[in-house]
Amino acid sequence: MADISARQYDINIGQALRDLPLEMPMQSAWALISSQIPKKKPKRYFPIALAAGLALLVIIPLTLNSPSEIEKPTESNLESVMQQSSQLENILLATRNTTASNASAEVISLALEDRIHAIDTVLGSGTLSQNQQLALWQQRVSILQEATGLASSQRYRQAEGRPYEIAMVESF
Amino acid sequence: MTSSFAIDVPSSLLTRARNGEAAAFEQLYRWFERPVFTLALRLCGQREEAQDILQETMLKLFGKISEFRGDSPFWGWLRQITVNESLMRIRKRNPAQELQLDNESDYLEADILLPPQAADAQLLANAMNQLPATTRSVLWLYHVEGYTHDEIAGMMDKTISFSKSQCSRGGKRLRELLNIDKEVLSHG
Repeated sequence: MADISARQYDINIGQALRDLPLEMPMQSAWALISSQIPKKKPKRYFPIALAAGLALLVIIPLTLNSPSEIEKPTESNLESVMQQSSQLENILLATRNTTASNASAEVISLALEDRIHAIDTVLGSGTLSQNQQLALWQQRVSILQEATGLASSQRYRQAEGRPYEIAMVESF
Repeated sequence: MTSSFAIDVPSSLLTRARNGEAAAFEQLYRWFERPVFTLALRLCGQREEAQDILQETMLKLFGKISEFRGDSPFWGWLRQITVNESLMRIRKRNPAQELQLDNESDYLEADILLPPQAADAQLLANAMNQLPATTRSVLWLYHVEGYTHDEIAGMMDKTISFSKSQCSRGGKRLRELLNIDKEVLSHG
């Protein structure tokens, strides 16, 4: 006689483990690491400059609210936006639920992360003017604000014991 | 079988990192932060330790990046540094605290099926955390990262039969842990 209970064992162990979501560290280790690696001035490479320029054609039009906002960026306002970005990143890490996440929210969150990665790729090229850097950092801050809002509301809904999908349906 | 590490890194970025450009290091860090942290957490089971492993691994990466020859994928090289760092920490733990599942020579089936509760990420992660670190590491390295029993045995300084046995017994234990959760829920 076949074991009826065997029918419930229907998920392959490898698949189940691979489906576990990526985890987030409690805090970014970059600040500590960057303080321990020797700094060199970035070299400029023409092909990277070209790629970065092409990427900017796609990204920058989405970021510019008005040309006057970035007309005369200074070292200090660039630093201030970078600091804001770093603070938001820390808030996001603290707010995110690291033990369980809702699938719909995770999809949105991953899409936002992809946008941040795209910006980081261009920022990492080391070929941008201060104007271009500022525009990208502002775009980064705006996406992080969106992601932080999403993570906070997900936490709030979970604390209330309401599924996120229902909350979204109620909200929209 | 795809590891979350399998990210193709442009050779231009690696060249810039080898030249010591901070921006290139930061780029590599941001791409691999979560895969490194997740692998360390899955092997060690503790977030604080995984955070330390993330830092150590990245510092080793940036310190040794000039040694990377490029004849294998960069992500595989970085993953190996992470695995080595994690296993070294597990080995350093107090052996009395680090029990292993019985290492009998008769193997159960390798491809164990889990109950539907395994689809719940939190339940599965909790059940994994209840396994001894060595057993959990063998399970993860074999089923998720795709290492062979031969490779796992080499990294852990154990025999191939040890790796096979831990893998099959760990899978069986995981199935039991998930079923216990189910019974608790159904009586709740």
